[in-house]
Amino acid sequence: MLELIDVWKVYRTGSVEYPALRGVTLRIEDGEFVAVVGPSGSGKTTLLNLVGALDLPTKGDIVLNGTSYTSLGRSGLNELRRKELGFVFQTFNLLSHLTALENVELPLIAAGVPRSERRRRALEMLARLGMENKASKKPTELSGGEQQRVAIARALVNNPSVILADEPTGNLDSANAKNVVELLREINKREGKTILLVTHNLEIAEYADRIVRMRDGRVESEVRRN
Amino acid sequence: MRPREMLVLAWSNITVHKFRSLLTTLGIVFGVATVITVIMMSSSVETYFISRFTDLFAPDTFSVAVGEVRSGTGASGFFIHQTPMITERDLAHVRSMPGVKDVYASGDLQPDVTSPIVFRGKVVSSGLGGFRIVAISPNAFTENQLLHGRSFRNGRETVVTYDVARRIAKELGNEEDVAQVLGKTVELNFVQGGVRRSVQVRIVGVLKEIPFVFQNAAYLNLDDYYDVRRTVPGSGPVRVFRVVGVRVSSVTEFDQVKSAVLEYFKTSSEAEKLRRRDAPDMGFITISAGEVTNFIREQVQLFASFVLQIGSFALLVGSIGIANIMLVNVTERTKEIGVLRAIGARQRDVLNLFLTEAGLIGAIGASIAVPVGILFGLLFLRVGPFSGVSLPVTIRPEWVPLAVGIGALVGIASGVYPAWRASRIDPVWALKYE
Repeated sequence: MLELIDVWKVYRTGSVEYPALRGVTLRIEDGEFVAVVGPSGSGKTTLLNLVGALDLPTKGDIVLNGTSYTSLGRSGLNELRRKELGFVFQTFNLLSHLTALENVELPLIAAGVPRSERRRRALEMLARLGMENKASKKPTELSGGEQQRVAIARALVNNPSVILADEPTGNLDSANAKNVVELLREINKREGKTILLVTHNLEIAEYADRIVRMRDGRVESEVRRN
Repeated sequence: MRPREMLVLAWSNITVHKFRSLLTTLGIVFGVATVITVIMMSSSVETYFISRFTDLFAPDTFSVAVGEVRSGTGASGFFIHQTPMITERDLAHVRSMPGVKDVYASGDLQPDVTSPIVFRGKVVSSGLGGFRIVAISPNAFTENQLLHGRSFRNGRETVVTYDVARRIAKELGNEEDVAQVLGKTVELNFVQGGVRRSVQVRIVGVLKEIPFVFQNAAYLNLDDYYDVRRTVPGSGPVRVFRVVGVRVSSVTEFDQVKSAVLEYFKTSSEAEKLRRRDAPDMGFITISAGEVTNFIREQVQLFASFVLQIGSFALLVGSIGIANIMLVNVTERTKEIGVLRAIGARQRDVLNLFLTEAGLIGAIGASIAVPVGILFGLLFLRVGPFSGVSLPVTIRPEWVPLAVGIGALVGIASGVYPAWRASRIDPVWALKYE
């Protein structure tokens, strides 16, 4: 279970303080697919970065499967990212000089997984997403939809419990956007991964179990679907 | 991250910008290649000169002269400032000292500038080229020093250097066959007591080649031609010689005899009286095979250290180049750093990745530098100022790991700051970076 308890994030520029999050409390069950929507500047991406342990709350705490983020040191947060979290970005963020396979291998390299096992797992993951025949392609040789599939494979390869997707369809045409969100939905259903998806596209948000609407750093409303 | 994966990732980053990486290595290539060229050059030149000089300077012989010894450079001034001050009495005394087998003396005659040596009416060597006419005792030359013939026995005979013999042989039709000059008569012209003298002498000996020094010289019998005199305090004018050569009876007593002879000169010799009066700034200097060897080594190393400083400077410039490019890399790859951090890479991993890249660039530069340095070394030894001399070529396999190690170290040192900066980048900011 992922829990955000009165989470504040305040950015400071000189003497000016800008609160990006103002006391967000949210509880996401294991295997739940949650979409966070809201206008620009509402704090969606800040929320995702905090859940992704890339940053720490100014106040409050985040607890994932019983582990409090604020109790973890830098290495603990690194380990959390390596083992429990997978990121999918709007701009895919694949390393252009590596092949699709090597990109998928990256989290396993960071985790120190031996080469042969790494290769096997990365190939398996690409195959599951229907990308096995593109393994040796560089990102520039792939379409946007294919690149995002590779990015999703990279997010999944470490078998994390939570997938964090920041506008994953933002750079895709509608057909590819639909494919990607359906893929995420499928991963959520089939493998029970918790998915926290940030989007401003309400059509995409419709795929989630719950839609959390944010405004001015606060949770404005929550709509549970199904 | 494991070191192997780190290397693979670093290599793949380097190959993305092949041309840029290659340019970055240039400073290292130049620096390391210079070092290798200099090492090759100096060790070859040193080995060659030492072998040639030790061949010519017999291990049982040393010489003493009054000369200027420059402080800080050992005896390296001894070729420059020597003055004739050693008297007949000094020679006789040294000859009688225990452990001394033989003594010889020498002094310079002032060669005629325009035609110091003439063969069949033609000036063979010009005085402007540093031609020397040396008056020397006939026993000065050992068999080892002579390439052909023997030493002179009287004033009608001469011994010439290899170079002079070659020029005469050229006049005879075959430059290579220097032995043919034996028995030929040359005219030597010099000034003695303000009067120009011209003597016809027969060549009876040719000295072995000594590269770069004493190339143009003819030797005459001391007693027939040399008459430089000084007035010793308390007695009349006596003949004074520039150098006295001493042969010891047993090489095992060499140092002992040398100290004793030097002690005699410094305390009770007539040369000392003359030195105190006429050249108080000069001192007694000795030359022996060991000293010549040390001198050559010193000179070669002095030159080598100078060039090595240029090499080190190039390395410094190279390392600044690497640091600069690495800083550019860090900025360009900010987003990549964010991605790496997001997938769980630690700050340490990012630091090590950039350090590995910098180290690899340095090592690649050094790997290119080894063959380049060797090539330049060979070029220098084959077509440079040493082209006429067959120098031994020194190439050692250990240069490769050593150079690559140095290159990698320089690279890593240059990469420290950029890598540190990369590791400190906030991942949230990095992921937003465009």
